[in-house]
Amino acid sequence: MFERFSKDARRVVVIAQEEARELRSEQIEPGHILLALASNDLVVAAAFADLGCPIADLRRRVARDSGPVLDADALASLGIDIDQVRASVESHFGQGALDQPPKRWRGGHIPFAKAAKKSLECALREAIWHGHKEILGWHLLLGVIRAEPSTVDGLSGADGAHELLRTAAMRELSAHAA
Amino acid sequence: MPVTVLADRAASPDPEMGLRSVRALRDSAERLEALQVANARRSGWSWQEIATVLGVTRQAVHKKHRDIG
Repeated sequence: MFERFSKDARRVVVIAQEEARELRSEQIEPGHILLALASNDLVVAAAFADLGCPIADLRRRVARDSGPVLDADALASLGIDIDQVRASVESHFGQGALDQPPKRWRGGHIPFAKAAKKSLECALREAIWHGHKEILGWHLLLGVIRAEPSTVDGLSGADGAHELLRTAAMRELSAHAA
Repeated sequence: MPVTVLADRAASPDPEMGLRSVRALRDSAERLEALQVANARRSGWSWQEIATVLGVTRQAVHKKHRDIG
């Protein structure tokens, strides 16, 4: 499948993997692809910013869903004060000791989550539908929107964000064809 | 957070909060296990001794943590 990816789209996939690794995610999720698209292309970043979602907000929301941070609220619901646990662990094992996920999460190949794979498949279909030989970054955006519209809305922090992003992508793609 | 609020939440049948708390407990346990196994190894414990206290087999604990030495 990757043979049809443009150089730009390949770079996006590489960045998505780096984002997933940096955020200590076990899989590459659609959110990591969105983050990669926005950090790779200023026009994509601007499209998110127009929705009231600068890239820093996008990264914060993706990080929240990537699961590296222990869920303090959920632990509090059981009566566990994670800050107290953290302080006790750090006093014995050093700062940040509790916030290191187990070693096997680091390095190596990070697989695509099912939803991310579906996004890539949809990107391929979008490229074919638009009559483009190569899969471009904008097709990747359309692919994520097609596969995971509610995730796009959630990460953008705006209902209907996926519709506006789709419009922006279509506009850019028709300019590309012209 | 007041104790009464905590008690309300803990008793809440909300599946979202219930499942999140299970995941957070599991994540916390995984991290503590990695720290404590490494600490035990540094203190000269054998894999068998660690396994006995954790209630798993020596093979299981070694396979999971052998990276830390």
